[in-house]
Amino acid sequence: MKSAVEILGIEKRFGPTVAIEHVDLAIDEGEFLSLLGASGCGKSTLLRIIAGFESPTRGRIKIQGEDVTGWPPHRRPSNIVFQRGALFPHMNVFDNIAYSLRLRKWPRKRIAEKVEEMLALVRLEDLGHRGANELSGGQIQRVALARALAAEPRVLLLDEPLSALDLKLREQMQLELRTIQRQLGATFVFVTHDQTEALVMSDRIAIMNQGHLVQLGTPREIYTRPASVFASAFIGQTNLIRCTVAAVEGSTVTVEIGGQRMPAASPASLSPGEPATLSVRPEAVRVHRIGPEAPFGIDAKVAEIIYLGSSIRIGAAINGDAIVWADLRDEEAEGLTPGMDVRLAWPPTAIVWKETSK
Amino acid sequence: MTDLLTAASRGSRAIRPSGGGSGAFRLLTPAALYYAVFFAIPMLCLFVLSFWRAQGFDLIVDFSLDNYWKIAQSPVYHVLLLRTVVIGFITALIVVPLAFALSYVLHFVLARRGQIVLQLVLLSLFSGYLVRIYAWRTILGKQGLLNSTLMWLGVIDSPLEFLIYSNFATVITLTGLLLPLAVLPIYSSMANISRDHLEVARDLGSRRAHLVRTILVPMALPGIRTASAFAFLLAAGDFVTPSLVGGTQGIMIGNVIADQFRGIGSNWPLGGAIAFVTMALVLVVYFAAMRLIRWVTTW
Amino acid sequence: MNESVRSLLDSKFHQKFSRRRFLQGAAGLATLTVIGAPSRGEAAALGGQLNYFGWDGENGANVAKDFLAKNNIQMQSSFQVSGDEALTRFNTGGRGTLDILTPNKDFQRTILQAGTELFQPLDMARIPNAADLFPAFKQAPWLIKDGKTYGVPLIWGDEPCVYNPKKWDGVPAKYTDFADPKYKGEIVFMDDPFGNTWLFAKSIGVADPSRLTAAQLQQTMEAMLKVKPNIVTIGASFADMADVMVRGDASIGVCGWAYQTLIAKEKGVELKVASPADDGTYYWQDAYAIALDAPHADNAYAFIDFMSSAQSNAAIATELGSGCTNAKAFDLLDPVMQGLYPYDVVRKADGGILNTQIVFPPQQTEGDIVGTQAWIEAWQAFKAA
Repeated sequence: MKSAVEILGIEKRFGPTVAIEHVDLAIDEGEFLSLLGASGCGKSTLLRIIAGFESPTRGRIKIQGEDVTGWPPHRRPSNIVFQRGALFPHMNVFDNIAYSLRLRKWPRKRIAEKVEEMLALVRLEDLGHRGANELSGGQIQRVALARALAAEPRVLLLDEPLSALDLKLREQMQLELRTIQRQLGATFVFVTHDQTEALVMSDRIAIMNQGHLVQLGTPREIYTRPASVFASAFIGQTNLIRCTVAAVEGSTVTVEIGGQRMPAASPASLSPGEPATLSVRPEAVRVHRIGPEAPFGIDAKVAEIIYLGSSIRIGAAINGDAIVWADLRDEEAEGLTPGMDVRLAWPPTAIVWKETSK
Repeated sequence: MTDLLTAASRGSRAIRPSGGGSGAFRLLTPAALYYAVFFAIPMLCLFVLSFWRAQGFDLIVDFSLDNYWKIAQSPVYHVLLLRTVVIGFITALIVVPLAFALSYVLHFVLARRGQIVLQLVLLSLFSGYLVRIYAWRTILGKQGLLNSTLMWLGVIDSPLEFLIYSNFATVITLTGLLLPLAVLPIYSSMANISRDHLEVARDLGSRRAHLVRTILVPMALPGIRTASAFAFLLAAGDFVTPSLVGGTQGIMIGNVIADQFRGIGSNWPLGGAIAFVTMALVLVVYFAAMRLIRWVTTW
Repeated sequence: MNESVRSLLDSKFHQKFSRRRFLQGAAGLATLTVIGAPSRGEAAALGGQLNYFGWDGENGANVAKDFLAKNNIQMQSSFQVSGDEALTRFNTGGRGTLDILTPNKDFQRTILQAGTELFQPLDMARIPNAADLFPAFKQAPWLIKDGKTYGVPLIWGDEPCVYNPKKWDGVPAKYTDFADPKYKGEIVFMDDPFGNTWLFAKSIGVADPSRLTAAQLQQTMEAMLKVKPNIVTIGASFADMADVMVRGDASIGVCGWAYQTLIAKEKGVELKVASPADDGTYYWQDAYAIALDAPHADNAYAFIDFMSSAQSNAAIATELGSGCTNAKAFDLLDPVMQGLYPYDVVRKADGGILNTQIVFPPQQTEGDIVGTQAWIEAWQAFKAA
């Protein structure tokens, strides 16, 4: 499959500051790819480099096979949508959407049709004559989207377009965006700091941290097989437990936590005696009462019980020290009280890394 | 604000009409009061005066259109009015785009540093109006800075005469005087334009002239309007500048109005009449120009 | 006494003048104050305020400094920009607040003739120093109405042309000669509707240039218009005109004042005065007057008497580069100052040319003769052409 966008060896420095250290990434045609990371990780800078607002210190950008490095934004077959929409306040919705079309000198009729089409796409028919400064937050973003799509770009770049909206609206828009993207079959590159958002919408997620690409994969891959402590911590929730490597046998590792031992999986090579970090998701942890039916696991004492609505979160301390969180259903948590001795169990596929790995 | 007014009008609540309550109270704000006392009322007095007649050192209270008739008939006034409007217009035509370009650079190119540069530009306003006009004599004079430099460089053999005591000098000097004033409103209205707007527009294909016409100018329009008003009205009303650097072409309608307010031979009613005719003409031109800008910046 | 005053005047003359001082009054000449004999008017109770509204410089800020201090008088001065502004102020609320005025002779004559209220008759017994005035000023007809005197002359002068001797040997014989192309780009006029018109009317041969018919006014304008292509600019004030010449933007000024040569001198530029041989020029004279309903008449009398003494008169004439009106003051003048003006004129009793020469047209149209309004409009048309 031909790549919609190829990011080849991009580096970006602003004076002494390194914004992007090195990124290689190929985005597929028709894919919804999210660039996910915390503030300052370089995701927005990367997007702006693709758009043409920044030029890279090193590296090249190709869009649909064409090397566009050095091209100004208006020449590139990509369009951008900003966080705050940036609609032109002195125009109405119709004129905003028609802006790029008029620039291209499309005939009037064709413009009108296209605008109609876009309004229908974002479900804002009949709002053509509304002034741009008379719209609600969600409407603004939809018009911004319609404006960017009207120009029929090959690639649509979105810079945290939903971050300024309130939660309910955001969730709604997430689904709508996804639908529109599918409908059009277009390539979307979406920047966000919200991992749930990325999980919901994306075909693939690229996690960035401090100017690097940390992991690239489908939501499931990233979630179940995070490539590093950072990745696992960033996506979803996880317990990061300090432990020591006890024994290594091929890809199976035995780690020691507070004197007790548990099996784990390791993607990297570890040596016995090394300090390490174990990552296990709360929903994978099972809490059992001490007794003859209690499966193999680690003994701990219940420290906290938190009601989350759809689940109950139990915090159990191992040796009075590290707290491990477990998410249980209502009935599973019945009868558990703080101070109670319990046994924690989790699958041996929980991943362990060297302590210092990123 | 409404709360403040409500609190203040506690005693007179019964009088407050329902729809235009706060509007009525706005009349009493200090600014409106100041305007009324120092502008509206004197203007009204002068307007009434313009229908009177002068005889020797006395004024005769009358109602006659003699003064206006005189203005309509005398070609001297027509010439001067035309010249005044043209010079004012040309000055504004130069000042406003310059101020716009300068504001753009200060706001978008220099950003934070631009604020400091703006202070420096405004500093020139502190150095006194007459002083700045005389400074132009030094620059443009026959033995002035410009001529001396050009002759020293060998570009010209004898001084360029048109530089000073000409309409050229008037326009240049007025431009220098009014540019700082015009920059202020445009600069502050550019605060409405965010980088995002410009970037989106560029991304969608807009550049340079198109960008200026469709995005920059419409979004800075309030500031441009104010700046145009400053530039045009102040240039048209200025008669000191042309009398000092405008030479024999230098007289504008302001000069003849001022002449009418001397002691001997004065004719205040006539002066008032000329003033109002000028004002009417200038306002008509101004609003027509604003219309034109509006038309140019929409499709 | 004379010697010390003389040396004071000497040092004063060689000091630097500045245009600013000229514009704002001669403040800053700190070394010159006149310690004259106390005025006999001191017997009356003096002290308090004294309001001056007249020409910049004639309020004697320096000359009268000690006198005012000694008598505890605080002088509040406002300056007029045209000879007739005092009337405007008087009529618009100034009445009852003005004390000292400085009308020029034609303005004063016009006011007195019209019977307009502005000046109060003077009790000359309270101004004993006025006895030393030159014959022309003692009983000057323009100061007197119905046997009462309304002004005490202070300084006088003429309205010559001022020229740059490096470029010109002198001025042509007639004002109309300035139309010659050789003067192109060299002439600066003064913005004065009356003076210029009078001079050119004289130049085209009108007998009494202050009384013109509409046709004569038109002809005068045409004569001036012929000169217009040679005019560089029209100066807004005497100082402005001098500035233009000092910069070298023009080399001949028409309707000027000898004081401009002093302004130029301090800037290092030499200018000379001369009047066209055939046409000559007109003379002016400023006098002190007291306004009607003056609130501080006692102080006013004392001040005028003091300023009319020989020493004071000499000092202020020197300061303003003009002629003195006190005969004894003449002897105290520097030779350069003595030579500036034709004092023979003022030694004549009837006021000679000062009396017969009237520069202002009548206020109202009188039959064929057009009035001030017509002159002002003609001048405006000239400027606008």
